[in-house]
Amino acid sequence: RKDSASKDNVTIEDVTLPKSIIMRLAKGVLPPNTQIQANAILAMSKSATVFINHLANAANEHTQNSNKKTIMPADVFAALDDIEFPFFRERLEAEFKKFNETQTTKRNTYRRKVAA
Amino acid sequence: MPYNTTAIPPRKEVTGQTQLPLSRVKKIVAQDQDINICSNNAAFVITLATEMFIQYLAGESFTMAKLGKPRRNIQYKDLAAAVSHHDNLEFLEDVIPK
Repeated sequence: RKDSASKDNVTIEDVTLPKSIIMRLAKGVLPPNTQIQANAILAMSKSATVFINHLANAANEHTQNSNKKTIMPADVFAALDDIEFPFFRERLEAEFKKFNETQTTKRNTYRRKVAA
Repeated sequence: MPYNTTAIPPRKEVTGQTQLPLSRVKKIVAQDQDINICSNNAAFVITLATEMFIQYLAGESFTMAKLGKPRRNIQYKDLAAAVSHHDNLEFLEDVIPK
């Protein structure tokens, strides 16, 4: 099957997050001149990937419980409680609202262009 | 090539944008055999949650580095200490063993 083949063809670069952005995000919450050891950055990077799977898995439980196949934002928000990160929810909902508005505006501009 | 190493502090205003690449996060989610499809919107929420998670983990590790004789560099053992101190980081026990 095509999609199982594409899963095998995934390279390590595809599933690793960019280290520089991880480092910059981490430094964003630390006082200036705080250093992060190389293996601490590596551990953070690995943790971030595991976190993605951890959250996606918890979200997928909600998706399956409602007999759906596609994970929706509501499933992710609900999953935050399950994985004990409820304090992320408020900001994530606000960011998602903004993201959604931007996407809708883009779509409408495109449609108007096509219609014109 | 000069690298951009500027710190990215948590944003004050809502921008609806991510720092981490959304496509990469979608690929990581797609690795999971149990998951059928992840909507683009859900992937956006997961990406931003991951950014917040990195900052949470960094902050908690720094708290550990300040205990005892305070240090200004974060070491692997600070991450391991943070993992064993917080229930919500328990899922990392295998990734960051003491």
